[in-house]
Amino acid sequence: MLGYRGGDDQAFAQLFARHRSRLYRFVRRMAPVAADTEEIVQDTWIAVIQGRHRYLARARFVTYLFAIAHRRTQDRWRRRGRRSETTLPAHDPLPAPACDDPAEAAVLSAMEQALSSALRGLPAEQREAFLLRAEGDLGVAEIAAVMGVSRETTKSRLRYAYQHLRRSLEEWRQ
Amino acid sequence: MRADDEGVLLSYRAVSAELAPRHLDAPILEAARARSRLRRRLRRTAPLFGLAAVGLVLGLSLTGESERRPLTVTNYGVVEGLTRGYLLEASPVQIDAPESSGSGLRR
Repeated sequence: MLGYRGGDDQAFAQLFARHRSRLYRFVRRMAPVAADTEEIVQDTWIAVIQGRHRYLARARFVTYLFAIAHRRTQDRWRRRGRRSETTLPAHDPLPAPACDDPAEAAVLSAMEQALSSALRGLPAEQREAFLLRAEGDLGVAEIAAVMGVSRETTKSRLRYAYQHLRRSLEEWRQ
Repeated sequence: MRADDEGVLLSYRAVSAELAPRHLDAPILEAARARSRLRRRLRRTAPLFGLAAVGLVLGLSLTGESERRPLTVTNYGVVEGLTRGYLLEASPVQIDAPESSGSGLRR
């Protein structure tokens, strides 16, 4: 990001290539409706581009990026007149993971559906904490900073999210 | 983080491989390039704008200075000398001036 701030186009292209799909999956699972996903993703990247002079290297770029996405998603929930604490409506099913073996692909696809369904059933703040960990690879302190809550609250949200997802996966395996 | 939490995380990452659609890339990358172009253009033209600004300020200050010059270069000694002659010539007229005027010019 510092390279891009200095005017290096290639630095931005690298950042974008590294984070584009992670950000997309995060927003897709956090947006009020699937149709909002692309707009939120574009808004987030445009905010990065427009705000590059304000970027301070106090945190990792990925924290900065997901913090913007978090705010944009919250704005979208507000604009739709709903609170993000509600559970998500059912989205279009995600594409099955790429796999050469059809049997394995089927298993992965079923597991993906089970996990997606379990994630949709989570309260938004627990889902977001988990996704920031899983997609952004953020630590507890970074998740707390992005969500604007304490570390203890973040740990608690993560704990509940893991419990719920673990239970769902166990049920699915049985 | 517990080991089974790590298992959940790994399971999620194993199945969550959806890629962002490619059609999203073009407008974002174009916006980034446009910003960089603008920045480069500004960087190239900034010295010219700077020079133009300095020239403008110098021009304005010189114009102002030349407009003030007749006032500032007045030689009051010369003017006083001329005035004194005029006043001396005019003194007979002022002799009849009322006492209260007390100008001292009668001497």
